[in-house]
Amino acid sequence: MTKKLEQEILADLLAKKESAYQYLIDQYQQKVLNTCLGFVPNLQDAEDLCQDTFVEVFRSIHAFKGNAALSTWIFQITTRKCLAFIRYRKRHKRKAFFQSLVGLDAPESRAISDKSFHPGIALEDKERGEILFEKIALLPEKQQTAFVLNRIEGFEITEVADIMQLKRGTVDVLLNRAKKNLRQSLEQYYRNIA
Amino acid sequence: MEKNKRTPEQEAEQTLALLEHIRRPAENPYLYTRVREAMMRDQLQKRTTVQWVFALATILIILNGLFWLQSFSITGSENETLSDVFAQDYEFLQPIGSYEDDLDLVSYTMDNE
Repeated sequence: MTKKLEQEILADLLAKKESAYQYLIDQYQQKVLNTCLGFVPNLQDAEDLCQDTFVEVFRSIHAFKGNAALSTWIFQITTRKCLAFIRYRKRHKRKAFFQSLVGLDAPESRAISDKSFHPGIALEDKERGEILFEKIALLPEKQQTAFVLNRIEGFEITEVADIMQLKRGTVDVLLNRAKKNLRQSLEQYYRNIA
Repeated sequence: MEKNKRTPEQEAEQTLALLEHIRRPAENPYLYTRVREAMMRDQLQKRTTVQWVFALATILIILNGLFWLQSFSITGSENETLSDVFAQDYEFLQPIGSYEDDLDLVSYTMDNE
């Protein structure tokens, strides 16, 4: 998106024009959804997160300062939403675990799906795909973010740096560590089941 | 059989290779409608909250006014003296008399003696 077009879209969004909303969704929907699937490999949850992201983008468009590109800002929101969801799910699982220990039933914990099957992975690779995303989810938050944005969504390292508000060198280090940790974790897994 | 021959390193490599073949998800044609609906729901919720706050504030103001009026009707009589209030509080049948009444009573007693 050129700078001029971005300015026009921004002005239309501030004027609450329906066409601008529609355009932004058409333009970014797939990338946002794919990013969400990288963090949360479950189509239903990813679609909910995608929806929440656009709602927040439209609701807080007046807060967009224009320091970064509009797309960078959108993916900052996407990343924040996904990480918040993952934290919430972890907290919820912990709570459900303790409740089960003390004998209290936690029916709402069942509402959060544990199945993680990325719809973009072929059915014959389902098992491998589940293991892969399980191990990606175990990476530290920053490594996971850099890895998902770069390796799954395909952002350049400079774009990842902009989205994560880090220096390019830092993102490089995070990516290398993420790849190394992921490989080790997978090797360990296959060693254990051998 | 072939699977058993692979080393953990090869398995890990094959799993990582999946990253190159992940297909992009199909676009959801209803996303725009969903987003609009969520935004409208959000606005409605905000409006309802404002309405509730307004209603609660109105009720509090009315109740405050009622209490004020009630307290005015209890202590509002200007002719009521402190002794009358005291007598009412301690349920004396008759209000305490004035100083002059007391003097009359003393002089009456002295006269009779």
